[in-house]
Amino acid sequence: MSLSNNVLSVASRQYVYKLKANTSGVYSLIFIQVLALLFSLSGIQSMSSASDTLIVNVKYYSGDIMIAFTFIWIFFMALRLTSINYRTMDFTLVTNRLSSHLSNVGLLLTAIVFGGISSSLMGFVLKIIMYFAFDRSQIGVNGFYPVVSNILLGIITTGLYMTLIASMGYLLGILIQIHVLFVVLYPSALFGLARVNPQVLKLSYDFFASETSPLIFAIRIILSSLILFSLSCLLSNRMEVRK
Amino acid sequence: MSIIGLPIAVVILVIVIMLASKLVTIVVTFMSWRKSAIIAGVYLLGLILSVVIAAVLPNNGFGLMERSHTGGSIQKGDVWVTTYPSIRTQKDFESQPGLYLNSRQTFKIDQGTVKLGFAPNPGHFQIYVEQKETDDGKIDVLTYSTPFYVGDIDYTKLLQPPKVTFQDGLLVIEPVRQTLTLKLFKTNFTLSQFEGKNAVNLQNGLSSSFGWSDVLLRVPKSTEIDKGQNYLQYLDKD
Repeated sequence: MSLSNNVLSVASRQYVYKLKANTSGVYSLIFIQVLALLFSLSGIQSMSSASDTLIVNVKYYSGDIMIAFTFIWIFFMALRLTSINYRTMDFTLVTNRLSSHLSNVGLLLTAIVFGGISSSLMGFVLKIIMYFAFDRSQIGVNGFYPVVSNILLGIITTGLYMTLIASMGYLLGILIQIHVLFVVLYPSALFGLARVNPQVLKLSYDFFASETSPLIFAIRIILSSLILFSLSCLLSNRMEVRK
Repeated sequence: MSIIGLPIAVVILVIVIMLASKLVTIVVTFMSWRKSAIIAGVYLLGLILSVVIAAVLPNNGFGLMERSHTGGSIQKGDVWVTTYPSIRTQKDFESQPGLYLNSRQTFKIDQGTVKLGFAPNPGHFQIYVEQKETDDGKIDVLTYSTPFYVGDIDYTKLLQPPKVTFQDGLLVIEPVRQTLTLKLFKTNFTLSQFEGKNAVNLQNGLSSSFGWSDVLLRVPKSTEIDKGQNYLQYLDKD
């Protein structure tokens, strides 16, 4: 009991230290979200169709690019936490592997909360810019005005996706620590699988992205992330002390 | 995105993130964690404010006040093709689901010279003729449009009616060339998956229904029509 309390208190102190040391991540997130906003202004999807007398150009706008960029950001944040520099920083603190992982996960969850809220709300900045900068007579009003329940669901879903992506990035980081060859092996395996048996990738994609029940979706994401984080802990326990 | 395009996009993004992190390193030199936390808070506050601003913006000025079709049995698709053979009477014509009357004009005609002609190549029109019971010296031209959908939304009202002129016994129906630019909001994929749409399913776009024009001519009883190359369908009395 006292041991677990000790680990938790050490991990929470480490979390505070690491949070202070990593607040700079905010700037890179703001930067890529603003960049994504600029990309989004040209639309995420467009279509044209024509008959003899009618030409129709349709452009769709959404916050998808901003959310996708935030996913990539959290992946690299997770990957960075397992890098040599950050692991060396751990040795300046009183720590063990477990408390280090717990504080890292805490840090990632903080980043996920911030990233999930900001990327979901960034879509409204896009809408406001469109409202004032574009010819409003061409804009469809459907989907323009905020609905609180949709905003909340969007934030939670984005956060859940980010948790899964962060756990994947964290695992990749640990694998790279075990052997640097995983830098190449991991994407090659995914690419190879996509070529040889795309059905497997589609199934794993559908397992999350095609789930229509928010509760089941949340359970799937949380369980998968827990498995991936646990795997990271297990694998890192087998590593040398300062590798 | 093509199989080559995606990796290139990812590589570009990774380079951008690396450059951003370098930039961040420079910025961080001058920033304490407190300042960073304040900036993060201000950023979030700004985003929350943007939701409030979006909520209170007036909705006048939007050109596309979209409406979902409530035409009961109407199916998405080309009504002109699917219903054409069943139109025999004026009642049939008026009861067609989704037909939208977009112009109505009346021209006075000289009873002595009641020959009408159509300009060549009038476009994709189906022309129906109803002979009135009397010789009132007037020809009514009613133009209709069949439904025009983008996705599930009916934009038929945006279609311009054909230009109709009558001069020296010649009725000219000219299609109006029109370019429609629609800017539509799509639900984020993190939400649309709970609406039963697959996150990467982008098929729910432009439908095949393209808004053809139907023209109804109501002509005096004794009026003869020189139809030229055009096919006219005469409507029976009920």
